[in-house]
Amino acid sequence: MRRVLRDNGLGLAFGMLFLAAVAGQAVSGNADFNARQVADGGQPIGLAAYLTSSAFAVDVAENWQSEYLQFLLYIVATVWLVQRGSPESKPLDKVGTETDEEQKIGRYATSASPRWARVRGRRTAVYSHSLALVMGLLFVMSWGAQCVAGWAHFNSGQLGAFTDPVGWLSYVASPDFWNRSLQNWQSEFLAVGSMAVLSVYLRERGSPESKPVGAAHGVTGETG
Amino acid sequence: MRRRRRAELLLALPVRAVLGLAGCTPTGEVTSAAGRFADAVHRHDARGACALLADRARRSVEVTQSCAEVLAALHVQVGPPGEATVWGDRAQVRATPDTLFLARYTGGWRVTGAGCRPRGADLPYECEIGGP
Repeated sequence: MRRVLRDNGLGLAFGMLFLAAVAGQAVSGNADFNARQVADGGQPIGLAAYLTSSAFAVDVAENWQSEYLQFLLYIVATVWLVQRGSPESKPLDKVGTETDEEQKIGRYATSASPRWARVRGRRTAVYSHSLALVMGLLFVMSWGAQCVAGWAHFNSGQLGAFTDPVGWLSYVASPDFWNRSLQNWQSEFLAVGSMAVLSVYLRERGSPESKPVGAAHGVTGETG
Repeated sequence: MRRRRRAELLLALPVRAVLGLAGCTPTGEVTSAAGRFADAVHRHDARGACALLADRARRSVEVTQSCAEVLAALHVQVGPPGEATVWGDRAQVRATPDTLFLARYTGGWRVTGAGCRPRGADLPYECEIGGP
């Protein structure tokens, strides 16, 4: 049991942090929502009603989509783009999808390689991009959820302000939808760019996201 | 334009189906509340109509007189409820010649704006009772 916890510490710790954060968001979001309801002449709602509301759904989904977009872009961009001296980058001479030998696929697969890496053909092609495909799917799903929940939340606000609700296409073209999307995207892009550049010169001893403390600034792709 | 409308309808149907299963599109309750309000106004039952107003809407007319006295003098026109649009705890009902706005409270749907007329695209309606 202890070994299972140690071997899966990263996933478990972040899973629990996620649950604690989403619970905190639910409670504080409900209080914030109710304060605005009262100010607008509406009625406060309980936590259960808030958890099924479009207000909660759009706030959750708009953050999820930006995180999955961040990882999708990072996964794909780091195939082709490198950053000299960054542990987030692969070596400068390895730009691109690399050879089958380097990727251990087909006849270069080992006995421990996943089956879909060994079989070649369509399955190997799909498996070669499975991480980006799943991240992309999760991004599309959460962005779609943000879009639909945001539309419902926006129209509820429109009616509360004695204004006509709008159709879905009008919402997709609205400042509300793009402001929600872009304000999350800009922060993700800033964080990723900062990490790629700062990790050239700064270190965190023992972290695989950092180079070894004594590594030269010019060394690329080395992690410690 | 027609294709755009159709696309919106196709998207709206499953969304509304899901929301409906969750009890979030009670257009029947909204239409019923709007109908009771229209009926009270039609019967000149100002007291009954006032009872169906949300607190803020009722307070907005009670400046120097009671709600019932103001409503009796206003001669607000509220036709039979037509198309109802519900988003969350807010609703809009076309009641020719004007429009009603409603909000959901513990006791049911209440009128937040009556005798409302559009002032132009993207602008709030102007209401004889309640409203912005």
